[in-house]
Formats: sequence, C-alpha cells, structure tokens
Amino acid sequence: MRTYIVRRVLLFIPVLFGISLAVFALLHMIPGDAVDLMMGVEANPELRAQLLRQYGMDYPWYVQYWNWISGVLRGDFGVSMRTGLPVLPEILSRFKVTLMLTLYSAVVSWLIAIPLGILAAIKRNTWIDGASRFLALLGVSIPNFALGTMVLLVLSLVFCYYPPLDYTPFLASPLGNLESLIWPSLVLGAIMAGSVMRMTRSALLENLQQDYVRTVRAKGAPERVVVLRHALKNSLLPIVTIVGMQIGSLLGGTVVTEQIFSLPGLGLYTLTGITQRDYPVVQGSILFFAFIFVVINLIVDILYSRIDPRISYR
Amino acid sequence: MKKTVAIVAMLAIAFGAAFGQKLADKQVLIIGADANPAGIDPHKSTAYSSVRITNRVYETLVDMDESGRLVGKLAESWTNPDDTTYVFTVRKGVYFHNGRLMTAQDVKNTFDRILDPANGCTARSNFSLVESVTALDDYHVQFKLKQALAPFISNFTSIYTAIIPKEVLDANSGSLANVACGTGPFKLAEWIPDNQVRLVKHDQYWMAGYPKLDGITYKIIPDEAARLAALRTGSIHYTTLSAQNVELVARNKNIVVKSYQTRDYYFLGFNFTQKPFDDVRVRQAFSLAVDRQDIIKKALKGEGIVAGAVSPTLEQWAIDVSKNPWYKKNVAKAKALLAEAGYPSGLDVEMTVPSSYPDVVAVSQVLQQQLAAAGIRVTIKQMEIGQYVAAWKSKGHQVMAGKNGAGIDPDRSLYFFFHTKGSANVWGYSNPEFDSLVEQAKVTIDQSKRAALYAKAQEILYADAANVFFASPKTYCFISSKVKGFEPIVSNPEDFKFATILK
Repeated sequence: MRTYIVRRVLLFIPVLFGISLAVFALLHMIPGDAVDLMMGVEANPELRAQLLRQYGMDYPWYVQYWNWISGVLRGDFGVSMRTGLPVLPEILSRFKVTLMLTLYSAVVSWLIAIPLGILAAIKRNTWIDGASRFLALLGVSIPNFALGTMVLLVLSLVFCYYPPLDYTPFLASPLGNLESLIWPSLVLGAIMAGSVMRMTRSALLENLQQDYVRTVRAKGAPERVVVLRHALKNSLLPIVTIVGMQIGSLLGGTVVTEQIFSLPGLGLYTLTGITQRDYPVVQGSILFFAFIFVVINLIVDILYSRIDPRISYR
Repeated sequence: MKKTVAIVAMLAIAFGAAFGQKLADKQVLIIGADANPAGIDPHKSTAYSSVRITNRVYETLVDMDESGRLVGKLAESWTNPDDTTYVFTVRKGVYFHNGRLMTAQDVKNTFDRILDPANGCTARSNFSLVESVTALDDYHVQFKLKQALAPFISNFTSIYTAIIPKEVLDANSGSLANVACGTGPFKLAEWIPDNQVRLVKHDQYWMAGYPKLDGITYKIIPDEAARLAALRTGSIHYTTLSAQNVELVARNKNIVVKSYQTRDYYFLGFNFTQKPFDDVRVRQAFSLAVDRQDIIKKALKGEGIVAGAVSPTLEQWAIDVSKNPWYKKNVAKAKALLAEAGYPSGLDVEMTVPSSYPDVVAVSQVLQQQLAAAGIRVTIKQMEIGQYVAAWKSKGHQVMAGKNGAGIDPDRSLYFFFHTKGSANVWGYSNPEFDSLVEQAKVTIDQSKRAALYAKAQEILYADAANVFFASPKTYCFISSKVKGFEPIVSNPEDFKFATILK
C-alpha cells in the first residue's frame, strides 16, 4: 500500500509538469494579451514596450515559461499583473472559501441524497420512488445560476433578507461562516444531490437482489440491518466515486455560484484572471486546481481499498 | 382650497426636510461594486473598477465642473504668460493622508514619475510636448512646452495625473498598485481582494467640513441581480445597473434612480485595409441605412442622445449632428451608393461585437435589422473581450461595433481616434484635409478659431463615414432613498463628498 501511494505521488510530477506546459501554451496562444487589455484605447507602441518589459513578456516563450516554472518550484507563483499582489497567498486564502463551500455542499447533498436514495430503492415503484426520482432529475437538470438567482430573489423579495456581505472565516466564527455559506451550499448541494441520489438508488437496488441479501434475510435479520449494514455498505463504491468526482470538480467549478453570492473564492479569482489575461493568476490557479484534482483522485482510490478489502494495490 | 392644501403640503415637506429627518448613526456609505479593482495605481490603473476608487483617494490639479468648464482643484489658478508656458498656483493647506503638507515640489515629483518612459504611466503620451517642469517656490510650479498645445490644461483633469507623495512611492519600491496615499476626501483603510475596499474619511481634507460621510465601503458583488437584491434589502446604499433594471424599481419607494449623460458613444468601425470598406460610398451607405432614433428606442430604452465623435455635452465643440445630411436615414440612397460601388445585390459583412458589453450587443442587433433593409446582410460575431481587442489591433475584422469614450477635449475625440497618426486610429482612416485641420486646432489657443476648425473636421469625418456614429448612452445610479446630497455628474459621477445618510 505504501509503495503504491509513493508511486502515485511520484506520478504527480509528470502530470503536473504536462499541465503547467499546456496551461502556459494555451494561455499564450489564445488571442489577446494582458498588455493590450490593460492599455485599451490608450495603447501606443512605447507604452506597450515598457509594459512588456515590466512583466517579462519581451522574452521568448521558453524563457518566460522557465522564469515562471522555476519560481513555482521555489514556491513563488509570481505576482498578479493587475493588482500587484502575490499569487500563492491569494490562491490559498481563496481556496479556504471554496473548500468550505464544497464541504458544506457535499454534506447538504448527502443529507438529501442518501436517505432519499435508500427510500426510493426500498419503496421501489411506489409514489415515493417516483417523487424522489423526479426531484433527482430536477437537481441534475437545473443550472446552478438559475437556482442561485432564484434563491436570492426569493430571499430578498419575500423575506427581505440578503446574505451577509462580509465573508466570515470558519476559525473566526463557525456560525458566521455557516451564515455566509448556507445559501450557496444549499444551491450546490441540491444540485449535487441529484446524481448522488440516482447512484445510491441504482447501486442499492442491484445489491438488494444479490444472493447474500437473501441469506441475511433468511437468518432473520431485521430489514433495517439488511439495508443499512449489508446492502448499503456494498453499494458505497460507486457512490464514493461520484462524490469524489463531484468534490474535485466543485473545487474548481463553483465559479458561477461564487459570482452570484459574491464569495471571494478561487473560481471568481480564476475567472477574473482569465478575462484580464492575468497570466500568473491563471497559470497559478489552474496548476493548483490540477494538483487538488490528482490528490482527490488518490484519496478516492485509497478509500476504495478501505471500503472493499478485496481491492488491493500493489 | 386646493391651493391651501398645496401650500400646507409644501410646508410640511420643507419642515420635514429641515427637522424631521435625522442622520443615521453610522455614516458609512455601502456601494455594491461589480468588480474587484484591477490595481489602485492612479497613474496606471485604467479600469473603471480602479478609477472609481482612485478618484476618491487622489486629486488632480484641475477639475471640470457640471457645465464642462475647467476649474481649479489642487491648483487654485493658473496663468499662461506665453503660448508655451503655464504657471500653476498650488492650493495651500492641502494635506496628504500621511499628514504631510502638499507643495509645488510634489507636483514636480508626480510629473517626474508620469513623464519617465520607464514607468509606463498612462498619461505620458498626453505630455510628450512638455520640455520641463520646475517648482518655482513652495506654491508655484511651471510647465514649459516645446510648442503651443491647446488642450494642455484639460489633460490635468484626468486622474492619471493625480498628485502623489514621493515618499510613499519610494517606500513601496515605485509601485502604487496596492497602497494608496493621496489628498482626496477619503483614504484607503483596507482592501480585501474580491471582497471589499474600505475607505475612511480624511480628517485633514482641505475643503473644511467635508466629507460629511465617515467612510465608503465597496462590496464586490459581480452579479447584477445580486446587486439589485442587495439594494432592495438595504444591504447596500448605491450601485450601478443597466437600463433594464429601471422599470423593476419604478414602484419601489426606497430606491431612487439618477442618471447622467455619459461622453461615450456607440460606433461601427470599418477596417480600411479590407475591401470594400476602403470605398467611401460603401461606408456612406452604412451611415444612411441607419435610423439612430430607432437604436435609442430599441437598444437604449429610449434614453440617450444621437451623437457623433465629439460628445454633445461639450456644446462649445460638438456640431449639431441632427442637421448633418449623413445622419438622415435614406435607404434608397444607401442602395444606390452600394450599387455605384459595385454591389447592386447587396453585401455580406461580418460584424465583430464584444460579448461582455450587453449594451453593444443590443445595439448591434438593431443595426443588423436596419442594415438588412439596405441589402447589407450582417453576421454578428460575438467575441470575448481579450479576443476582441486582439482583433482590432491586428485588423482581423471587417466591421466592428463598439463603445468609445469621446473624452473632454475634441483633440482626444478627433486627433487621438482619427488622425492618420492618432494612437487610437486602429481603423486605418487617413484624410490629409482632416489631418491638417486637427493639427492646426491642436496648436490654436483662441477658442472660437479652434472651434471653427473642429467644426469643419467633424463635417469631413461624418461625410467620410470614418466610423458610423450612433448615440451616446446614459449611466444609471441606483441609490437608497436614505442617501441625500448626492447628484451624479459626468466628470465626477461618484463624488460623495457632500452626501449624508438619513435614518
């Protein structure tokens, strides 16, 4: 197991190196550069040359790449071309927001999805099953910007309430943190719940038809034990896979929700970086996302062997 | 009877205003800002998100009042003993936020920074004719020019020429991107990126008794619907929103909408290096096929004015475009001109539009319908802003719709955008007669002679259809009815010096 983890971690290096090259290349290939956008109509060749020099953009691309990546290896992600603030501390402080949002959303989605999924499976083909499946379909198909805007509108028009404008960090006040994040978490959680619920239902249904379930029932175990202790445990594998994937993409994909609820998260940071072609910001954040994604994949793989001891990695 | 009621009502209102309305305990104005400031260096950060902050924190020598006249701000007055010399008398008793008194030496140090090409300051190109800047004594500073320059003083109204203290610049190794120290009514207290910018009152502000507010806090709320919701619930006091939202708050007593006429205009720019847009008849056909009132009605919700390259708010400079023959819709003549140019069966063009400007997109869609009637078949190509800027720089477009700022001096509106060597002439437009007129006007100090030259230049520009110009939009400020003493004006739309907040 340990050698497996070491091998996987070593594999991070070529993956992240490849991604760093791809991000750098893509960003420099798309039309429009940071300096042009910064100057707008005030552009003139002299100002342009000066700004290019200032941001080290007058070197050939491989020198620029080297300057960036060698800094990254030393833990220096550079400074934002627009705000002059160092990139890595910004990424880390915003990541905390996105991370909390993701965790809350995941909890919300489990609270909705797993009970509903179980209920739908054991009451198969009843109205409960139908209603749950309808809700799940709604969750999968409603875009988060629509649901987010609706929630804000209902809160402000009906309840004359607007979520706090200041983001409160968890360590400063857990309750304040919850108030900052509860509405966007409900939105994201409700949407995530759709696919988790469907996966729970189908995995559980499959397991409930297995021979071992009949055996468990035959030995007289109550239905609660049959479902929760035996069948659900064996259905966890696909559920963990989908939850892992969702958390991975949420950590990089809460852009729209962060925008609607004005949360200073990593998604908003990256999006602003992209529209302004703020190279150090975009390169740094994408590399960071990639890192998070491979780490989560690793965690999910390790969880597999915990859940199902038959899976072993060598 | 009616009269009595009216008088009683008026008295009640008057007394209410004088005695009934108490000030709120917390005099901090909360603004919903759509974007995080892209840096707060007054000389380098040009985004609106930045300028709305730097304009509160820093000040310039000269200001423009409501009627477009140049008046002193940090300069009490100025003289020009001859065409190439200007002497500013610097205001006494002005303190920077670090508590130091401002002197003429600060003006000199500021311009040392702006004029040094190594610094890449935005305003440098406007001061390329400056030969020397000298502090004559503590309160007089002299600018020597290489030659006469008519728009010289107006350049000093731009926040890109804000007066800064050199010691703060030096202490931050030459960068003001995320620190601030000016002479303005508010000073920077805190900036948490993508969350808030907090300004507090500058106690030593030179205008005695102002600002009334204790501070301004900008909350970053990128989503328009979210800003409106926050204003409705009273979480914020002020925000800017697009015209569509005016109807939504029409019956809301707690929200007041104030608008002001901007100096921006919508245009259609041709690529002169591509056929057939080098043919004046083709361009004229575009101009004649367009109904500008209809654009205002459909794309700007009926608000806005028909405009040319020079903002109609600058009455002494702008000609009355409604009398210009090329502004009158005439589809038959447009068709005839196209036929004459060799396109009897019409023309297919691709129109590049910046997708992040919904107002420009709306204008382009109305244009598409109007031009179709004259046989000009338009395909709209929406581009992300970075791509759009790259397209106009590399002349990769056919025609492009956009929005430009006409500026406060016709030298910017005309020379800067349309002279053969104008640095914003991305079209490739070149007319020697126009060039010579705007060159002469640039060095003509006599205002009426200068105006006559610009009037001629504008006639040429519209007859050449260098761009097709349409209309100038308004900007809408959505304000809580608790905020008093605030009136947006175009040259300084968010000046909250005089504002107070009622209970």
